[in-house]
Amino acid sequence: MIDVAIVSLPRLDLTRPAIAPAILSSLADKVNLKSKIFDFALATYDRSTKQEWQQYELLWQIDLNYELEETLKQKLDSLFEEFVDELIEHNPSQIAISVFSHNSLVATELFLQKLRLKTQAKIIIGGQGIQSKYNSKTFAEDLHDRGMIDFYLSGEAETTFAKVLNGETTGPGINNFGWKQLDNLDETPLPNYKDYDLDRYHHLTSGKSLWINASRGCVRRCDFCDIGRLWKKFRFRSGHSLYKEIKTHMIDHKIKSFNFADALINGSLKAFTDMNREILKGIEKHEISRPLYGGHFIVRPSHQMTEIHYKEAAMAGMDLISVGIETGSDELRFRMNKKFTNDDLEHHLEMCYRYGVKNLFLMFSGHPTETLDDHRKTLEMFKRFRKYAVYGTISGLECGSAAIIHDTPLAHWAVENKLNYDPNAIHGDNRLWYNPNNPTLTVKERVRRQLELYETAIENNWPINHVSANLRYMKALLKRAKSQVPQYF
Amino acid sequence: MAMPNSQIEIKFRSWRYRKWPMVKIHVDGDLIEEKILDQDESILSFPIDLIDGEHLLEIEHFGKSSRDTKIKDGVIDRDTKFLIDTVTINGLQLPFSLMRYCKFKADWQGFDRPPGMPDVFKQSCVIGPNGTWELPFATPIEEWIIDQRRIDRAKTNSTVTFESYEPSPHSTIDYKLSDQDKNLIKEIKELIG
Repeated sequence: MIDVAIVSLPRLDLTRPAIAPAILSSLADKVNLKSKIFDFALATYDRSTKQEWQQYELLWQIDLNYELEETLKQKLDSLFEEFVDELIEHNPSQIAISVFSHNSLVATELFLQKLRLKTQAKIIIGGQGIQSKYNSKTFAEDLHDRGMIDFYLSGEAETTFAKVLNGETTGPGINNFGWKQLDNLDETPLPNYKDYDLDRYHHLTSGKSLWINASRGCVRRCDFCDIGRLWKKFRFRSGHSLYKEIKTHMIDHKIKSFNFADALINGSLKAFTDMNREILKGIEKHEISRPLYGGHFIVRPSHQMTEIHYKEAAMAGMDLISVGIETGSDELRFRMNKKFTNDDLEHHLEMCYRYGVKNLFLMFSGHPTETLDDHRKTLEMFKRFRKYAVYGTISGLECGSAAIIHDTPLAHWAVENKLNYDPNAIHGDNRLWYNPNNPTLTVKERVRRQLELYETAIENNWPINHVSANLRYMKALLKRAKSQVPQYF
Repeated sequence: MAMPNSQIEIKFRSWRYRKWPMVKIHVDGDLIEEKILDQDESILSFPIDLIDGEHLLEIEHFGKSSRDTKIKDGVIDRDTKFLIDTVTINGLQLPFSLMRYCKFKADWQGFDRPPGMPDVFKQSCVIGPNGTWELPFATPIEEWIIDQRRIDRAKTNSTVTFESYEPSPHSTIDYKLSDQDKNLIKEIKELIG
């Protein structure tokens, strides 16, 4: 028997175990409650065929409103029944569900429908997904009003979870969204990964790995991104505290790879540098071997991020970073509020080439203000940086199409500029929109440009990642647009 | 006249005692150019037409004799020699990982061969005696560099890629489009019309 069951559900990146349940487990330990983590996202993968899993992946993406065939629907239903039974067997008195994003809503709803019927346990949900719009409320409020859950916790679990486990029923962030952001992130507990079998995850290219959290919030306000809505302040941990966590996990779990869950690992260049220097000191003292780490990285102008920063970071283990390039057009990138140019990017790539740091480029086509000239500049960028793709400095490109996410600067701009889309609908990555001020940029044209980006990238030896899933998504989106909103098609 | 499809550029650093080093450049056995490396640093660049596939770049050092090496107290004091610093093919400088496939076959005829000196020096870009330095490569050069990286990675086992239905972007490197991907692209194009 356990006190607290901690559950994660699809859709999650299965490269490594999610960090939120591990933090919840640690918080439960602190109040002397016995907890167990159930990773049903991984279990969904493990117990599905490839074809089933690919269909489920489309279902989780809430904006697609995807319908499963009846037989698959039944299969998924039985699978979730199994999950609930497995959990109930442990007879927990409290069940915490981590709702990672808007793409966790479908699975959470399905799971709760089955769970509520079978247990009297206190059900708690939290995570960024609970703020998603759902039936004209937030997902959390909707579930609470329907009696599907007992508590929803907004914001950081460190400020609420232990209190609710101990029986408190009110306070900032408990059944309300008036949560307060932590100022000192060094107070966050070390995530507890004891329930995870790391061998079962899908690994970083450099081996088994764990998430690590160095900061919350972001120093940019890119127009398409909702981080600024979720985190009002940018707060970061000290280099020393990060080094301690890295060292502990390397010893306890015999791993060497980490991926930062932060919006940006170099959001605070000072903290980033401090962390690298702490790691280097640890390596020099033979406390650890050189780790390998990655995370989201912002390209900065060359006078800000100089060669020494790259050199130290690479020596401290910076290995594979994800960089939000978005477009090859400087003008469009500035309209997105990204604040760097292709020349800055060239400096970044040259430094990464020199110090052996791999880059996963994150891009999308069809921003509502994207012109054909912007698109052409992106195609040119593939040629300009071809050499870095050939050398492996650019080790992957993930390229999607533009989405308008609720309550982002772009969503507000879309309302002000009278774009055709429903800001009140259930949506996640809403890609069904039409900008009458940029009339040729239909859904069809956006997909065409996306395909052209793929083809030009391939011609220039760029490796494209995650392409199969993106292609399946594009096909489903086109079909939906054609049948449901032909005026946008 | 058809334009050549390739450009090879070789950067040398040279040293001399009595005279500068002399080289002949061959590609796939064809003599492309003869040159005296009469500067401390020199760049030799030439256009060439290559069919896609495997090729061999050879740099032959010739015309040197024992008199071009000055020995003092049993060690080389001054010498005629050169270093192949970089090789750039179609604008892409070959990374170190590929330069290490080079070898130098020395021709000791007419030399006082120092004891223990082999006939073949592997992974050496410094050329002292006469002989031929070889570097195998393949075109298209971009694909060759990428493929060699894949092979090296597999050999050194430095990368673990999980056999997943759909590895996350973070779990893949140098992904190649599958037939299924290509079919999906075709279907999407049909939908676009």
